[in-house]
Order: sequence, then structure tokens, then C-alpha cells
Amino acid sequence: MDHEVMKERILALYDGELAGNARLEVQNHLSGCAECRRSYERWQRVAKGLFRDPQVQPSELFVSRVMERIDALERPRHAVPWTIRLRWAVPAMALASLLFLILRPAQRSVSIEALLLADARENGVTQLVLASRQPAADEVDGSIMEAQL
Amino acid sequence: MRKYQARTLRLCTSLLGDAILAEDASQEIFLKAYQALKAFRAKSTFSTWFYRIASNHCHDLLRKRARQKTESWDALVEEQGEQVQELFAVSGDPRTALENAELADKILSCLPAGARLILTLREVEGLSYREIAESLSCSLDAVKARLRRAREELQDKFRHLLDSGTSKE
Ligand SMILES: [Zn+2]
Repeated sequence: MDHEVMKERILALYDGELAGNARLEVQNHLSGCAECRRSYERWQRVAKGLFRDPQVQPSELFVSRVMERIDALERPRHAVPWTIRLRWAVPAMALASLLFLILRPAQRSVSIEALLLADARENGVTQLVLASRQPAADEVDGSIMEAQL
Repeated sequence: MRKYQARTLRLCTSLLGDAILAEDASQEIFLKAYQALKAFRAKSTFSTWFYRIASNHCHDLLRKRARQKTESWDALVEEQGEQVQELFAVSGDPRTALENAELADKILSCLPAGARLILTLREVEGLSYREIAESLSCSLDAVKARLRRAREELQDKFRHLLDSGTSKE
């Protein structure tokens, strides 16, 4: 048989792709041909040296991290846009402060706090909104991911 | 999910040679798979469909890395010839497993991205020719030819070290 064809078959044997007669035929050739046997053994050694099972242990957090990233990817599509949320957040906070003042007029310290809150307007509101939207970092991740995809 | 998680991480670690990069790449592969899930048709098995996404992603990462890499096989053989020879010796010393893994990664990173990928799918993941063909969207003949070319390239490059290693034993 053509040696070039045999070389390919020997690799197929090595890869476990041969069965029955084809397998026997190549095995017979190998036992009778020193050159092919050397080549077969050479590859065995290269493969053993270069390709090892890296013995990895998937981390416990893997699933939750992937879920977080999926969540971050999906959120912007379903959530109310940031600017609209902020626009509503300002009057909502003002209303909350007002109710606070009405309901707890006796406690001066609290009233001042509430007044400050009401006065803080956008700065204060932005901070509160940020605090209530904890996984902001993920969203950054998400937008980077989206840009890459 | 556990099964695919372990497989993906193993593939990424084998290809990228770095645990942190591999973890991140695995997460990205799961994200891509999640996004592509609607496009999954039972034409191929879920396993090969998943490997296709993983292979594409890793291939891109390897190609990006190849552009930054400066190392060459010739330089490696010159600097670490003895260690390379030791790596290919019949009886490897398990005490040097970690250094060997690093050296193996250096050697493999000199291969073209596609060659490293197909060899890893075969040698580490143990995929059959048919599974590789489906994962890489190519023909069976192309799988055989690419595997052979990659193997010959490696063997030819290190032949003198391999042969002198044999005569020693
Ligand atoms: Zn022969």
C-alpha cells in the first residue's frame, strides 16, 4: 500500500477511528514497518508531553457568575431607561420627603434630614438610585460584552 | 450544566494555559450559548453545537493572542532544549508537572490557532473525527488533513530532540 495513505491510516488508528479489518491491516503494517512504528511512537510521546488533562475544578461561583452576566445583558432591554427612571425618581423622592415631614413634624432632627433630602434633588436622588441598583458593575460588564458580541 | 461547565473549562484551560483567562472565557462561552440557544436545531447534537460555540470563541481568543506573541520554536529550543527533550521523554518526572505544563503551553502557542484548537479537541477532549467536523463546520477529510498537518509540523520541528531522546534510552 502507498505509504502516504498508510500514514493517514496510522493516525486514524491512533485516534481510535478504525475498526475490524481496516484496523487489523494497519496493525499488521505497523508491526512489520520500523519507519511507521517510529513515527507512531514519536507522535505518542509528543502528545503525551503536550496534551494533558489540565485537571480543572469548576468554581462553585461559576453558575451564579454566568447568571449574573446573563441578567446584566438582559436587564437594559426590559428595564425602564435610566433617564426616565431618574426623571420619575426626583418627584417621587420629593413626595416621600413631604410625606415624611407631614407625618413626623415633632422631631426636628429628622425633619432637617428630610428637608436636606428634598433639597438635595438630583445629587441625592442619583446616589440613592445608584444604591438601590446594586449590580451596576455588572451592567458595565454587560455593555462591554454586548459590544464584543 | 455541570458536565458542560467542566468540559468548557478544560478546553479553555488547555487552549489558554491560564486558569483566570480560562474561567472568564468559559463564562463568555456560556453567555454566547445562552444567546444562541434559540438558534439551536436538533441537526447536530447539543454537545457538538456547544463545542462549536466554544471552538469559535477560543479560536478568536487564540488568534488575538497570536498577534501579541513574540516567542518562536527556534528560540524555545535554543533556550530550553533540554527541558523540551525531557518533556518528550518516555518516562516523565511527575515532580516537574507544573513546569512541564507551562513549557507545553509555550510550545503550543507557537502553533497556528486552528492547529492548536483541532489538536486539543482531539487529544484532550477526545472528540471523534465526525464530532470535530461538526464542531469546526468542516468536512471529515478536512479534519484528517488538518490533524495530520498539525502533527507533522510539531514532529518535524522537534524531530532532532525526539530522536536523540530515543537513542538515550
Ligand atoms: Zn510503513
